[in-house]
Amino acid sequence: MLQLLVDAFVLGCSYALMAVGLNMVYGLLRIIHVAHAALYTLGAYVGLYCLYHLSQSLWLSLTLGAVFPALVGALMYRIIYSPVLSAPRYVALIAGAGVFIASQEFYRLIAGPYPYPFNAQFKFLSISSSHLNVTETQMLIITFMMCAFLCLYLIINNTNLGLMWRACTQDMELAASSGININLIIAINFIIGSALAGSAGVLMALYRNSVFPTMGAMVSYKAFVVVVLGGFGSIPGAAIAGILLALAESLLGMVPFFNLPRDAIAFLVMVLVLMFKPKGLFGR
Amino acid sequence: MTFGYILSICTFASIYAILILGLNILTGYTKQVSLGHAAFFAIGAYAQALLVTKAGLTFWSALPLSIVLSMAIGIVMGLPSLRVSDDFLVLTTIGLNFIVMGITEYFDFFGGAMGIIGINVPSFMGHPLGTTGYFVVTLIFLMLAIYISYFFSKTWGRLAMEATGEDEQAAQALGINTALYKIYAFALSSAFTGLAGALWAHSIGSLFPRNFSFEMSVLFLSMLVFGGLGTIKGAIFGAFFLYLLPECFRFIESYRMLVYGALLTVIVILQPNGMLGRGGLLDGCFFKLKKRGTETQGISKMG
Amino acid sequence: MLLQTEEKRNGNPRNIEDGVILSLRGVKKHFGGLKAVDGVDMTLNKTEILGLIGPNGAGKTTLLNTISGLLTPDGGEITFRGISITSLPAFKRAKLGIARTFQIAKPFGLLTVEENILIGLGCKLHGHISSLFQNCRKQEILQKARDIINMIGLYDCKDQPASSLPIGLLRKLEIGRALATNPSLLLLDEPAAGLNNQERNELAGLVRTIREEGISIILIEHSMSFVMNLSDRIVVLHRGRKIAEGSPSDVANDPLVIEVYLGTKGGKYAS
Repeated sequence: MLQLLVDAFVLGCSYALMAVGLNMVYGLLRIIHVAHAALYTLGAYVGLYCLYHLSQSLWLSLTLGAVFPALVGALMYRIIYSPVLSAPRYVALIAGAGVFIASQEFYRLIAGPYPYPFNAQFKFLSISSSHLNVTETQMLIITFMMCAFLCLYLIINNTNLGLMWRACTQDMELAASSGININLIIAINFIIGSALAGSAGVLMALYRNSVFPTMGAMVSYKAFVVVVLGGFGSIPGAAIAGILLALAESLLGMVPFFNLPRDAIAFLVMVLVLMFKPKGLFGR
Repeated sequence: MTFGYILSICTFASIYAILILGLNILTGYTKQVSLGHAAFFAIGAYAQALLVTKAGLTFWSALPLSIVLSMAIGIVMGLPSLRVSDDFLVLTTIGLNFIVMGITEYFDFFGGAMGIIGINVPSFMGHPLGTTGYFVVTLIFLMLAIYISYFFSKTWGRLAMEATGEDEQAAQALGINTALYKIYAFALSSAFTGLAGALWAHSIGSLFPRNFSFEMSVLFLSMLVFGGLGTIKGAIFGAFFLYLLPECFRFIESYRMLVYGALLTVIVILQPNGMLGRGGLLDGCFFKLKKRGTETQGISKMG
Repeated sequence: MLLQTEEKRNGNPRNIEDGVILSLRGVKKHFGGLKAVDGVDMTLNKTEILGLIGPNGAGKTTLLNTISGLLTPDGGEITFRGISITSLPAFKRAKLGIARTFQIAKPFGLLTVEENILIGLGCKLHGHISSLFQNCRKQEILQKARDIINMIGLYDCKDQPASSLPIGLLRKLEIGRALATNPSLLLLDEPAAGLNNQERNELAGLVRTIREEGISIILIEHSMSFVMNLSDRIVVLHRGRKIAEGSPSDVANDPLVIEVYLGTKGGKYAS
């Protein structure tokens, strides 16, 4: 049972890492950043490339798997979203969706449709006891996620940069006329969010030991649910909701007579939250 | 590229055109952006398939039932739109995709993951319809859908829906019960979409849950936005163009979706009002079938 | 008569005491801790033009919103033509005969001027399922629309999308659209803002014509000269409460009002 919780927790970490990027973009630009999914898979493939061509060490893969998507994410904003900020919002939605569709095909063309294993070497903590086994990979993921969220929380609440970011999420125009360089804030926003998505991709590639073109799809869809559940604009909300969702999926599957398919659970949750508590658990 | 193949693509294109006409009522007029129309499409298709394979009805007797069922479920699925607005509604519709997909995959009643196969070719007056015959049937339904759309565009209902979509508060100040019109929009939209689904079921012969994915909903919305949100001509044009486009790229089969995705992104950025929408590239190109004043977009006497 | 006021010609629709068409008793509206409207009593007589004034933040627009139904009051009662409308949704109030314009014009931009007016004309029809089947472009209806468009002076642009109109014409469209609903009460929220002198004079003339058609009017306006010259009676709000009421000259000379406005403008309007 405890093992199940741990597994769910790890899955939840991946949801949370994806969700926070979506949340940040929505908070700032009110765009539903569908193309975010592409960055997760990109991170995994970049990490894979590192493994094969540069070094067997996980750390390099993880770093590059975060950095490269970070840059691509910022570029996405520049090329795709910034021209349509003042257009009706379905335009950004469809543009993002187009990128998402194209990216999956792109990966398929470059790397082929079949999954690759992800054999990285690394040393990390693990727990082995009679009650509980947490593998090195699982510990890594959990630790990474916690550090990432802690850092993010500290940056947003305790630094000047964070202050400027918060100002921008509340009122972009006012922030701009107060002298804040909103383009910089937006760029950093995408960089951080995309870096987290890319790292999530690497970590889950490691965990599942596979990399394939459509690996980002379901995680990204679930990330929407997490954003809604946790509440728009709440970073801690994304973390908590991510874990909660994963737990709910695992636990509900065990309840007898509860026959709904696993993925549908998540979306039912989302629809219900939107109808009855649209601000989510912690939203503004 | 046989004649049969061409007919078959034209049949599918017409089916999608009917669907997009329906989507236009909801997303084009009433501005309730739906990224879940694949779910409505699935409902129509599954309803028809089940009625025909399990209840033994004919194509013709099952069709009105499928439409009514789609409409009823569409109304239910539209209820969240009363509580939820704008971006959040889009997310709700995304959820609908997965819920419907999950349900059809999970429960054996719907055939589960193995789907429903062997949906028969419909007959007319005792003669089974071939590809040509079915195309003619589909075309007739498309003509009917176009006629109903144009008729509707001249009614009070369309004006009320457009008002609801543009500015709810102003609409309410003029006596419009915006919640009710949103439901009407869902009802009409899912009726059209259900019809399209039912026709599709017979055309394709077998249904699998994975067909009706989020990507399909994205495709539908793109067709409408590309063609021109809020215009009937745009809806038809968008459906035909975006359906036939990947077919034209068959020679680059492996790059097809890549080109398609890229093109979608580029075009929506350059032409947010759609090709036949106001200010669109093809605005005014096509023969105006009706007198001025029946369509809102594409009419601008100012320079 | 241009606008059909059949109900008025057919006699009193309900029991109206002494020609009072609208009555507010103890109306309150709070936003969290902010008491935007804090217990306002007010009546409006039939065919009266009532000016609602007060400093910024006094609660004028909020009060108007509770009358039109955009907001539901947190306390108090509102009665219109003898019917309690306190908890009635906005669209039902519109059907009963309350029409309004908005401070920032809200035209249906993608629709033409004519279509905007048509929507107003359809007020009583909206909502019925038959509206999905009834052609709105019938001769009589189009004629009525044209009459209104002519009255507000927008005939030249009747087929243009409303979003292409400049602010002055947008204001007229707002009023025309509200009139199309065949109201007995018209609420005008700062209709003169942003207009030049000539436009204001035209607007004042239009408001007087509307009153002559038998429509009662509540007018919020910041321009003192405009509202004082046009209104039969003034109500002054300050911090959500009514602090004065009476004829324009009475109110203009009321020391409390003068103090609240921090000026000596009152002196100019003593008639």
